[in-house]
Amino acid sequence: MSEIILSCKGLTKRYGTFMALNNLNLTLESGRIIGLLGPNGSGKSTLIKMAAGLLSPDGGEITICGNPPSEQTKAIVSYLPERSYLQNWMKVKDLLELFEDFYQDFDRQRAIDMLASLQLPLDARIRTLSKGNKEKVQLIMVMARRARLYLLDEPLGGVDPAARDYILNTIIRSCSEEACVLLSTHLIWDIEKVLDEAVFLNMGAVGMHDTTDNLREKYGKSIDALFREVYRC
Amino acid sequence: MLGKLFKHEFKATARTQLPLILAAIVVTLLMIFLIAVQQALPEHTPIHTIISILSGFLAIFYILGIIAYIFAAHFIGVQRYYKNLFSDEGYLTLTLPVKNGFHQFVKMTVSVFWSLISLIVTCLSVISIFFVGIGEVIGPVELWQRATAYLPPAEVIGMLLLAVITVLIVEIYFFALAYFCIALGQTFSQKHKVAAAFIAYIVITTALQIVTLILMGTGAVLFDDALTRLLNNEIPPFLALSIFLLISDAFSLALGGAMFGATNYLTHHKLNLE
Repeated sequence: MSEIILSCKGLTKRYGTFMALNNLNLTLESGRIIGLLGPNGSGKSTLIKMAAGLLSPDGGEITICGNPPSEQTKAIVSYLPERSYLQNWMKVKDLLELFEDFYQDFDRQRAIDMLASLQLPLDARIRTLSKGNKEKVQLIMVMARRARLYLLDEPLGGVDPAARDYILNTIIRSCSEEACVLLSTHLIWDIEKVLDEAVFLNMGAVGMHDTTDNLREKYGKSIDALFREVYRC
Repeated sequence: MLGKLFKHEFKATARTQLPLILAAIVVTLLMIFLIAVQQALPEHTPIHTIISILSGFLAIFYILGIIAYIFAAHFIGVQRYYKNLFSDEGYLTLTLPVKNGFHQFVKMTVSVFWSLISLIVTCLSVISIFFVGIGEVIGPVELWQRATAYLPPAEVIGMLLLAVITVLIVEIYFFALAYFCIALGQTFSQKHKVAAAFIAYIVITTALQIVTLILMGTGAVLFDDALTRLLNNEIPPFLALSIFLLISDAFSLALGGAMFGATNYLTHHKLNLE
């Protein structure tokens, strides 16, 4: 039985005079992989950061499993930002230790297995890794947690095509009946096959939200083609 | 969670602070060695002249190095705070399942710890070089006896305690002010956070100096009688100094606490990582 993982009611966020989120209403349930789609500046990253507890709303409310963002929700939310947050002086095994210390749901063995699959040594210093490998390490740490809500902001951006399939399979495996995966991406063609639902954001509000099957049937085209049509310049 | 934060904070900062401590110790030992050699050699000989010149150069290097070490120990604490919370590393740090206030508290405590260590290492370095230089090594017991020969024991203990408390409060105040300026900088400027932090520092310290001058002036008027008695040596200087330092420390602590709270608020409600 699915449970409401993320709920946004009248959510508003302003940066000066710019409305990043404008009275946004959204409900996401467990057991789903949801694509958060929209052009640059539509509010995708702002919504994700708010759910991650990095930003406070200016209006409305946002809850994760019924609770507003706090240290309690951070314990069940696994967040992958668009940027690299790794500390360059660390080794990969130092990062494992940090995640293991702070997150009770972190599966160390799973992380080690994924690192081995992508040939990333535990003793490697972060500063010696390429940009793509840093992103892989970051993604592995996030996906090795047994979280309730995964927030992935552009998870495939800097990753080579060969690793993308591995990462997509990892995302699918991570989405248990108790968890929800919300990922924002511009690589819709690559990710479309794993999505259960798609949320189209425009100017800080939800334009469309439906299952990918319903959207394909209703509009007679792929999600990628629909995106290009909706947000045509 | 607090214990784990401390563990990882010490791990992250020790890798830069410990080599600095080691370098200070090595330079101190080198200075002591050269002074001892200089004292052992007969005067007006070429080798004595060479050693004296080397000692002179090393003394300049030592003084500059000690000042740089103290500055570096404080700078590392401020830089660590900015980088770990307000740069890209903040995406990890601020999504850890701990209260925002814990991050501030842990970073300030660890930064104050390393700064105090830098002051202790510097004092021990200077004292040891001084004793070798005068050719006399005095132990703590003899030092206590000499001090209490001039001043009552209670005053000696009081001065030491007051010095320790004042140094501790000054260090807390320094980091509270630095953190507050960084938090203000990132609140008001997305692209130029560091420059905005510097501007905030200049504005705040200037304002505080003006307020301090006003308070001191007001105090001088209100306590005119006590000041006159102090100038006439009717009030013991140590007592007057103690009262002044205690008032100053209390003011700094209150101000530091207010800035800590304001920083916590800004980090929680006005965070601007991009």
